[in-house]
Amino acid sequence: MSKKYIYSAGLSASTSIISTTILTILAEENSQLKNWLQSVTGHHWVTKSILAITIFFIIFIFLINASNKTNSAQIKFAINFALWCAVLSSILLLAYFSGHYFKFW
Amino acid sequence: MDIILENKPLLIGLHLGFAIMGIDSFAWFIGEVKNNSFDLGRKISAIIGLTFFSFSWLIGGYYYTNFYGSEVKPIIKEGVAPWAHTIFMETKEHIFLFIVPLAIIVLFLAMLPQKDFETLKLKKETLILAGLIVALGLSIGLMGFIISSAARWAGGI
Repeated sequence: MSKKYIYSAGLSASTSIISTTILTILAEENSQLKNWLQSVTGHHWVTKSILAITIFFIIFIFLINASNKTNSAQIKFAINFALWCAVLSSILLLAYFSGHYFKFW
Repeated sequence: MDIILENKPLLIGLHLGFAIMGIDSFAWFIGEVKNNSFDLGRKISAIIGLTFFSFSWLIGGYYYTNFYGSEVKPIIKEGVAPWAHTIFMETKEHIFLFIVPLAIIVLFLAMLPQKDFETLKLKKETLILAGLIVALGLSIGLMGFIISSAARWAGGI
């Protein structure tokens, strides 16, 4: 398996995670956006699920074709970036929905 | 097929069961990497881990969109712990979307030849990433337990 697959998957996963988190919070704040997400597939979560995977593979295929040789530092950066995106996005979503419940915003 | 798709306890059981097997598979993968093993176990654990989490996602998603919103959510929202939905279900359903992309990275790491894996010095990153998948899986399981308990307290299940 080529090294650039790992690099591309790391950055693709990061993009997918960030976009899912931003879209989720924006949709909670904007009912028109949430209604649009719902209208696409019948459920906003299904649309977000499809978008998460679609974004992952579009970025992945683009990076596979765009990147040449990848070195150890680039691969480690891509893995760590995906890791931190997942950790911080999880904390952000938990904090956002907690704040929503306690009416902080 | 309708026997499965209309059987709510079975759907929840399959969703949970596949998630547990996904967590176990990545725990197995961590053991393979920690022991510097490059046999088939490293690849198989990553492949089945990704597969199990994908099944858990599909089955959980089917249950969530077809039954949870119309039958369980209203009961929790009117019960003693409405926060179980507003905080934990909302968080859980979105964090779940992070797991499969992360598991795909682990799959590619598992497929890397031993020589490349050692030259690139990726052991620490691989262990932390697989550990994060296990941790996210367990925290999602805990949130699922809280949501199920809230429905039971409200008399919904």
